Amino acid sequence: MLEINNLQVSVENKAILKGLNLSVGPGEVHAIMGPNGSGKSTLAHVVAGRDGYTVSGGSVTFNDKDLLDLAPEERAGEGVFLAFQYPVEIPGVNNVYMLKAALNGIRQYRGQPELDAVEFLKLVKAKTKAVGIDNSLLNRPVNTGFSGGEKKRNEVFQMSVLEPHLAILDETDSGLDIDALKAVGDGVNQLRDGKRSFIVVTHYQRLLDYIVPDFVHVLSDGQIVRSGDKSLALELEDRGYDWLKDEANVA
Amino acid sequence: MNAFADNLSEQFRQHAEHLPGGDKDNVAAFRRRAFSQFEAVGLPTLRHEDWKYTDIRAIAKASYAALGGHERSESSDISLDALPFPSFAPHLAVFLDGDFCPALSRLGALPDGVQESNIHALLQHDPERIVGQVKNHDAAFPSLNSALMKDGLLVEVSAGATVTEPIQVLNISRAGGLLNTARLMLNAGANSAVTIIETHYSLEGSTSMTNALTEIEAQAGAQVTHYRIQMDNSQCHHIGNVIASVQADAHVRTYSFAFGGDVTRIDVNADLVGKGANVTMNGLFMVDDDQHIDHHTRVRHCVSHTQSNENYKGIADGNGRGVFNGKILVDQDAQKIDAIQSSKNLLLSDNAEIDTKPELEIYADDVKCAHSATVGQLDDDAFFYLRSRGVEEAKARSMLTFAFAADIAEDVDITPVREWLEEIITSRTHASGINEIGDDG
Repeated sequence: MLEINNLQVSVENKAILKGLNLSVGPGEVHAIMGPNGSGKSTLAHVVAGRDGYTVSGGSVTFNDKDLLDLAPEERAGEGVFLAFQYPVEIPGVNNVYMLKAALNGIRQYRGQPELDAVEFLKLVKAKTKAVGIDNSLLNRPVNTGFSGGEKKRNEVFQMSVLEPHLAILDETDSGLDIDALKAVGDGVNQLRDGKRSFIVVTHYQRLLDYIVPDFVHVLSDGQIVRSGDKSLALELEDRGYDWLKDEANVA
Repeated sequence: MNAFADNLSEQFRQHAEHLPGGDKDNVAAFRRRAFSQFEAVGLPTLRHEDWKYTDIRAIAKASYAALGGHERSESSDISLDALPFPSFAPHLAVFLDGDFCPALSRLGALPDGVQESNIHALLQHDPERIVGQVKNHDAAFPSLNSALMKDGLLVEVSAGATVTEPIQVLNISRAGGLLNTARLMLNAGANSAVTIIETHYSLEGSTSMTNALTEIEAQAGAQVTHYRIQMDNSQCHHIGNVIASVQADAHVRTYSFAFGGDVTRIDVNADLVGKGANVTMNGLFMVDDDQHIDHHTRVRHCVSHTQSNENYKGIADGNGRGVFNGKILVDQDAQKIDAIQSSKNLLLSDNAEIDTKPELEIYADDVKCAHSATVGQLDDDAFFYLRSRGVEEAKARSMLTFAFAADIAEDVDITPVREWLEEIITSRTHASGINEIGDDG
């Protein structure tokens, strides 16, 4: 589904990703862990199409399409969704209105008819219930004045409406208390249907108690230095990241 | 001198007597006085501090027919509904190339307490009512307006009267090469309430220039709301002046929405002359291509316990250039003043430019005065956020531009005007759809 080969990315001439390989199949949940500054968020942003990164080598294909050639909205059309570490506040743009524009943008990209207001609101109502997001947030300006937990819930809510094929969660656990973490985890788990894939980028193991990964990768200094199953995350929780760095240095 | 002024002087000397009321001594004297003032001050140039951002050499070089002699434009093929601005009011006066146009106007019974008079008729038959009311203005364009005025509207609201439906005045330019002298005089009696919507529009193909003057007198306790809409085509130059005098406890809200013209300059002036006087000045302008729109506002707090509130937003795309200059003057001994001014501007292209400048002259010491001025671009983070969700680039740009200007539209109480404003903000950023969604009942 997603194939990343030897990806090399720099920001302002500083190399961040230095030959990263990752393969994500349908229905799989991959956790990307690693110390601060290892390139986790860069990876998430490059896959979603953010400006400001220079891809100097390697490839990213999604269902055999070259993702790096596509605009962010076209990647969304292909089924990629990025849940932001810091969801952006957009005063003046209504949350539900944005979501309708997004969904219809994706449908248009796929050659599907746009949903009218009635069909769309029916869908929103159903998803609101499923995700358990507070109704009052729907008609507020996007993320504006939302608490940290509300912002992350809103990301999951948007994900549930847009139904991506691949969802990338960029440090979704940051700034969340346990209740919010659990709620977000529940929301994501509802979207696991055996076909939809997830990349969960996180510094800590605790989110993985709720979203249990099939694979865990450790990113360090721009490369994946170790891969394993969920037990690797627990080991990292115990031992930190330094032993991996030391091992890498010895090798 | 310059071609513009030379040519007008020539026309004025030869034909002033043919202007309405030209055979009346008091009107003739008043016109001569105003024209002399125009000649004495002269056309402003970039050397004038107040005009340093606005180059009107294109006007100075041009010659316009100002004193009649032209054929009346045809109105029968004009449908107001087809024009891109709201024209909904039950009472609506249309001026075509400066002349009152009965065929397009809707002059139903006015509500009690409002008297609306045609300035052309007054100048001919009851000139004292005009000459007795007009003030002398110092600046070139208002003086020129007074010297050359031939028609327009005098709206008088009796003390205590509340006019529930807005009154509309449309100035439509059709001909080429005319100088349209549009005049609107509003006198709101004590504790009255009135809303007036003034629109300037030029049809495709018109190459006329507008020099408009609106005078607002708000007597004690009056509530006046004035919307000014400017939608000229890009072949037309537009000069507008709004001059308001606000008495004790009166509140004047004057809004300027400017989207058209080649070179446009709008001055909005308010004198707060009575205790408790209050003025709100809001505005939105959008420039694109090679357009230039300049707003100069000036609030003068003449006495204590007066309040002013300004919120202007500008959006510049293409090679467009926008200017906002907001002057707040507080006289000596005018204490307990509350003055707020905000100018926020958005650049949508690398070649667009906006100059914004607050100007404070405060001679009193107990004054609360807050001002802010910003020029920025669309927020990259918000732009990427929307696109990453699947919102197409042009649509994302349009949504964020709309969001930038949304508070100006929200503040408009009259639904057709608000909806028109929302629509134009969205359509001028090259995408469709407004920031609303149907009710799910």
